Amino acid sequence: MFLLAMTWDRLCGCRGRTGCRRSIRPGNILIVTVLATASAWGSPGATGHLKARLVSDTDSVQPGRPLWVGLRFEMPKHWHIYWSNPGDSGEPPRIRWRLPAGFQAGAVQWPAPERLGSGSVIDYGYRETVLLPVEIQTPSTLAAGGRMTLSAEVSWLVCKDVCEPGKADLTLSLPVRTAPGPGSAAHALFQEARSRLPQPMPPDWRVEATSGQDGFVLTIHGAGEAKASFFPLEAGQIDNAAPQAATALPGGMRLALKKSEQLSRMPARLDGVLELGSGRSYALSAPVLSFPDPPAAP
Amino acid sequence: MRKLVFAVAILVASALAAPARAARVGEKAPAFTATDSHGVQHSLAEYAGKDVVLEWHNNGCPFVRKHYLSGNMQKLQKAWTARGVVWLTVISSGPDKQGYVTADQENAYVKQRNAAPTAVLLDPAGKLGHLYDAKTTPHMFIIDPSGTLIYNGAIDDQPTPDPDSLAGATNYVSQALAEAMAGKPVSVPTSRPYGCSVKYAD
Repeated sequence: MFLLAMTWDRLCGCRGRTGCRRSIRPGNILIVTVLATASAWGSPGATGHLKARLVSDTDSVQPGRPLWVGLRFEMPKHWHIYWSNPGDSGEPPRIRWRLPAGFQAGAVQWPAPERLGSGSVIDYGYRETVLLPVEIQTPSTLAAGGRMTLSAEVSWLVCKDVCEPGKADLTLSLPVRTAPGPGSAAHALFQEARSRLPQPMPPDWRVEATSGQDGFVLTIHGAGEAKASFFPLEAGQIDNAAPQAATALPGGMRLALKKSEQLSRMPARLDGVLELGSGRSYALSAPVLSFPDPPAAP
Repeated sequence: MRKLVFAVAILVASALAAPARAARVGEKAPAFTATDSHGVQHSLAEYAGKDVVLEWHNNGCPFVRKHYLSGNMQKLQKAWTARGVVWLTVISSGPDKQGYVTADQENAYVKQRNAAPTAVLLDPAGKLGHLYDAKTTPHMFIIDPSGTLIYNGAIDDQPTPDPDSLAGATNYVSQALAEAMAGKPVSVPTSRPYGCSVKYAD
């Protein structure tokens, strides 16, 4: 029942040494099956509940052209990992890139999350499968005909009712070619992930948030749907578990967002993702205007 | 459509489970009475005049284990109870949920881990958890001698289960207690609590 403490460097030891769990598939995908890595904290003998791998959108890299890679997570049913703002509990996956000279990794592109959990503890994340795309800038000095290798140290928390932290060193090796070939085997995964990314707010929308005593009211002029959900980018602004009452307006809508108990300073903006009932999602940044409620009657 | 139904179900569920009164820093901490692992009742009122720490706990959560396997939590408990702080560990896991323990199991755990709380409050119905709106394990609250909540949040500034993070971490609980005891304002009164979700009963 009570776990043995295992040293951290046993966990980080997976770098091609014997006994390490790493399987290599042909082509451009290197898969690391996470089993032993969960055991630094998990029960001895328990299998990990997450498979992580680096995939690429194309099957080769062109010098000077951006390369889209992705962190693909696969979990059994009911298991999940977390969004960049995990919500009330949990922690998002983290990537530490180790790139050759001249390469630069952009920020993770987070697909629109789901609400997870129930009752008073609500989280944001992804169940079962997700691809997190990252754009890598490549140097024009890359030599065509050679190969390039990217690696990343990825850590995550995967949970169902219990949680398992995990960590893995992932590697991706691609040939360098002057011309792009056909899309990689993972291209369809990238298309699916892109369709789940929040879109930029349409230019004809206007958003603003007003702050009252206990909550914010987010008004979106231009979004004409009756049902929507707001996912805050920053923790500690809104109460994740509180219902978000939606009101239809002519040509728009309003969402009531309860303030978080953790909110200590008025934010200048509410940034987040608005997911509409139709399934489309948009990246929002609403300035916060303060209109205090009238003082309560004595 | 499935997503919409799911979203509506969540709204309904959260409306039903809404906490009666969450614990807001700067306000009177919610009064409570709860029973510990030795069958003894504790109420916040009996600790008027003392600092009280509430530590939400789940022995299977990797974030909690970071603090217990390293001895960090026990060190805090010993150091602060020696200075007159009342340290109450709280377990709000429901009876069929992860982290649920019987009184005997908890007493054995405390002994085995050499933990030193003043008492461990068993809260399987989640009454105390919902009263304080405890979200994670660990989630820490500090109530000052006047009964005011002066801290609500994470145990430290390292939201990771990695035990290496303990070296150099800013422990918000120790910091707040030291400041309050010196008559200074608490510099970090709230922070996002990190950990596994509290496994409340359905």
